[in-house]
Amino acid sequence: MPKVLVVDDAAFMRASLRKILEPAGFEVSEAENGAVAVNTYQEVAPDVVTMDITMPEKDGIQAVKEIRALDPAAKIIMVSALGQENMVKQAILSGAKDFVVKPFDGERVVESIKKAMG
Amino acid sequence: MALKVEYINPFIEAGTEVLRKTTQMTVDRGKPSLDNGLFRVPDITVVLGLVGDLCGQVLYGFSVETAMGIASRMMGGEEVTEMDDMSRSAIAELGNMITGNAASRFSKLGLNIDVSTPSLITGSNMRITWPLHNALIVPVSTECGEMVVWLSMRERDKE
Repeated sequence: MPKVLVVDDAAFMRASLRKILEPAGFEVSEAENGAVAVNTYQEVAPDVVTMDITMPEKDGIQAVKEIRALDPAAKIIMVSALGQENMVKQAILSGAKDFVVKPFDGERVVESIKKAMG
Repeated sequence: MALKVEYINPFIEAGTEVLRKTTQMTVDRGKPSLDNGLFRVPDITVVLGLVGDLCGQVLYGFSVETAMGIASRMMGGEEVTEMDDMSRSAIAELGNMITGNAASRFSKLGLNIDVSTPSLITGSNMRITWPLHNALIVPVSTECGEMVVWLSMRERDKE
């Protein structure tokens, strides 16, 4: 079963993504900020990461950079409420594969994860 | 520079879109007024800081009943009988999504804003003292009750 690491400081958002991803056949693990995400990535070795941007401790953009430094093949999708062009560019430049804007359609997230997995 | 009334529009448009997508509710916007310091903050209030070309704070206030109704809809109709951790997280995330959506609308006007993580204030009979200037208040009617949007914002000083 492919593994997805869901990174978001909002418990509600982690639960929402779990509700979408588990029935779609993914094993889900969670991290509540960027710092925890970097550690959990190494422990879990997920196939794909969904990453929020604005989080305490360490933001999503910095976490993407650190995870990509550890694993240049890491597949990371940003899932954020901040969908302005400069934020999307910043995320893609830091190594994210895709950008899903909240509030999202569940099918859009699943499709993006499947596409990232190739 | 003073708070411009038109700055409230992207927040109301964003609120309408985000509430429609997350709760399938339509909303009706009330008339904006100025907070003269006499308004009481509703029981459940989400606060977010705004930094960038425009700086300030935006608040979204709800009664407990309204917040529970909205949280329930956000959770796919799950019964919500108290504002527990998950319901509070849902309401905070609603504020985050509305403000993020508003920031995208401002960026299309050439104004870039960064948004802080949301904080949730719970309590009754509170008043706000605005540090910078006055705030605008706009009531927004939903099928679950009223959401009140407070906006206190100014343009960044030109260097």
